[in-house]
Amino acid sequence: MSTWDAELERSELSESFPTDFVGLDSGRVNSILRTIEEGILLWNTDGKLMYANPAALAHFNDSEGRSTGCHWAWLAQRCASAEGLPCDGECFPLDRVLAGDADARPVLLQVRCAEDKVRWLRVHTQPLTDTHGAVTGAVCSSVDVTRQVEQENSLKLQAHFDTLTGLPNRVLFSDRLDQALAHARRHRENLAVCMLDLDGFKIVNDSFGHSSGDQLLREVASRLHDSLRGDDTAARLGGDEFALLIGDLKTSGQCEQVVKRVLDAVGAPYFIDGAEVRVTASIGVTLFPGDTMDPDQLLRHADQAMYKAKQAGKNRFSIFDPILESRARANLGLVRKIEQALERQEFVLHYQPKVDCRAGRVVGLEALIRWNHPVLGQRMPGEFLPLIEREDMIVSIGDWVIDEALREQARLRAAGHELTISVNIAARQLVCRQFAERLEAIVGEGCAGSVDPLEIEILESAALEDIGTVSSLIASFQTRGIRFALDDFGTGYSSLMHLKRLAAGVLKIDQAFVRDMLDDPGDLAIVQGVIGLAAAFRRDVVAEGVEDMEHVRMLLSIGCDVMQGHGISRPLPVEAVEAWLRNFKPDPRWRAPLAEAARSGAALVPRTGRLS
Amino acid sequence: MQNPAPLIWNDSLMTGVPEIDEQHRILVHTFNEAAESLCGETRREVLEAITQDLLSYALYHFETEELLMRDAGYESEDGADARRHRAEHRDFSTQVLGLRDRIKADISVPPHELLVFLNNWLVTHIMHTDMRLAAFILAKRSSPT
Repeated sequence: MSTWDAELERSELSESFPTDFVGLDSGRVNSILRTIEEGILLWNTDGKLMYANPAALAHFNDSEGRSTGCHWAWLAQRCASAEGLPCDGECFPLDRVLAGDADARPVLLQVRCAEDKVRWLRVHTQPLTDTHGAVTGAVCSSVDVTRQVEQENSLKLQAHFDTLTGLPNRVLFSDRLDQALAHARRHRENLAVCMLDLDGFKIVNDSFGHSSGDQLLREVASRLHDSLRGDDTAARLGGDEFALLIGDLKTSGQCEQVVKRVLDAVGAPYFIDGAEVRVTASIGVTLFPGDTMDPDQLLRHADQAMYKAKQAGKNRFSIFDPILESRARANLGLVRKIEQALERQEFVLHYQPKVDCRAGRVVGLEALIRWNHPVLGQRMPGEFLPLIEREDMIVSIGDWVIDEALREQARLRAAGHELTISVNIAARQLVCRQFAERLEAIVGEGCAGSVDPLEIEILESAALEDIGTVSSLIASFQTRGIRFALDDFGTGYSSLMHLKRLAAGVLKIDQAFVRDMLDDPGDLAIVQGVIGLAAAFRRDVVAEGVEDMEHVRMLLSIGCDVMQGHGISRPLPVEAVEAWLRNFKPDPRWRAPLAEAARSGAALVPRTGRLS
Repeated sequence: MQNPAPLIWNDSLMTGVPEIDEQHRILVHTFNEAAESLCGETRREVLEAITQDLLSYALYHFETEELLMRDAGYESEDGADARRHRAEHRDFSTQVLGLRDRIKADISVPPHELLVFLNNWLVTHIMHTDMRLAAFILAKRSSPT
């Protein structure tokens, strides 16, 4: 038997009151009750106080014992519930106990004392019964728990308020936000959640010291508090970051008014240690309803809007736009889809032949990506690549394209077709260090055939983003079996300087100029200009977008021999490439003398008569 | 030239299929934003960004609609409508890609032309083509077989 059990046994022995020992002499009972610190109060069935020991009278601030003989309500009126509400029958459960409820829990009461002080009591009430179980009255015991309660409260205060500024902290703010959201939902009201960040606080902190910084934060806090209505909340979340909760808004204009008032208040000059100091605020606002009802997300959205305000130049507010957010989510969803598409092998390459029309032979293939979308069918690169231009994934896709294109080139070589294959590479991949290593590996494998294995097509605009890196990339591989082509040449802000620095071996004339050159003298001039530049800088030139015989003849006549476009061949699915190459025969009309072209009326017109 | 007025999201544009309406609301928002940023604006980056937004949202939205078509069996019961609907989607992307190419080559695309195209496409597609699809889907949903 453990010690505990032994104690229990002994206490059971004294469970019933030892009347033999005490006697029923009230004097003796009285002297026992006088000695204890707990208060004891005895009530009759009418709820009137029959007896209170000195401790109880002291607890209830009634040293003269005026409460004796009075109804419990007399004592209750000098008490309040733990929440500070008037003490009713619920909080002082005497009536309930007298009615036979033996399970009343101990209650916490506060008793008003002098000088605004409050005494906290824990009061436990039990019925008194006779031998038949009939209720003959009730007994209360009271214990003074003031110290425990005060300690608990101060801990709670620390847990809920920022010690520097006295404003609610994050914990209390999120508590209030929950309540405000519930209230707004129930009463169909609007509320605004704002995040506020000081602009230029760090400078103050750095140049005036931390204690001045703290002083400034306290002043900001008090201005925030003063610019809001009583029911609204300003909280400090940490550092120079604050949050505001503005409820009961009738219009969004009303919210803007409050936020502007806050901006003005925060932006007014501060005087700290005799010096005038200025800071401003950037505020992000999100509105409920309209935005989500998830409190964490509301805070995140307000934070996003706050960053927007910062970016837009600080000392201003920005309101979160949930529709823009949905659009951003849709975009992000698409990026994920494209990522999956790569894993699920939904991408394929098509190959468009490049033909030297003067020599009458195929000189290369351009690999062009297609997305076999499970729902939308085959999508063109222009529809999805721009979405991931700035994502790391564009690099994975570029790698896949290179691998796949080189595999196809090897297959074709085995079948007797020796062709340069070209791939389009995004700016992001060009400048990443691994790309040079990749090219190094390709060059290292050696060139099995007689042509350059790989041609990298770079958008002119992409090459300009980091012209240093790109030009050294070109310089280190150009003579070692990898060619570079400036794609869509003429569409960027081309300059001779760029052309000099980017030693790309090939210039590709953008299809828009080629397509329209027969009708638009300006476009023809650009085409001729690019051809002239290519000759001057000793670069090869390729025309894209060649659609018909007139285009071919015009280009031949002005000195561009290598062409690509629907007029030569559409991009071919991989299974059709070999057959196309086998059946390729130069069109005899390509060799038609220029004079004949001139006679046909189309080719030379833009260069002469009609236009001048 | 007067640009088309902003599209106001109202009941006449609602198809009654929540998934579609939610995305249409965003499309209309995208269009209005395009109209706003095109006010007197012909800078290439702005025009390019707008066409890209449109392409991207189109890809997202068309997939939703075409999945709904597939799930509802639109193709097998109303083949001609389904084909026309898909063709309008493809045409949209092709047109926007064409615009993009022209913008890229600095061939002037008057903002007005872009807006009129978008406005017409959105309104006719939503008010006619999508309404027919929505009616079909709603009928399917109300009489589960």
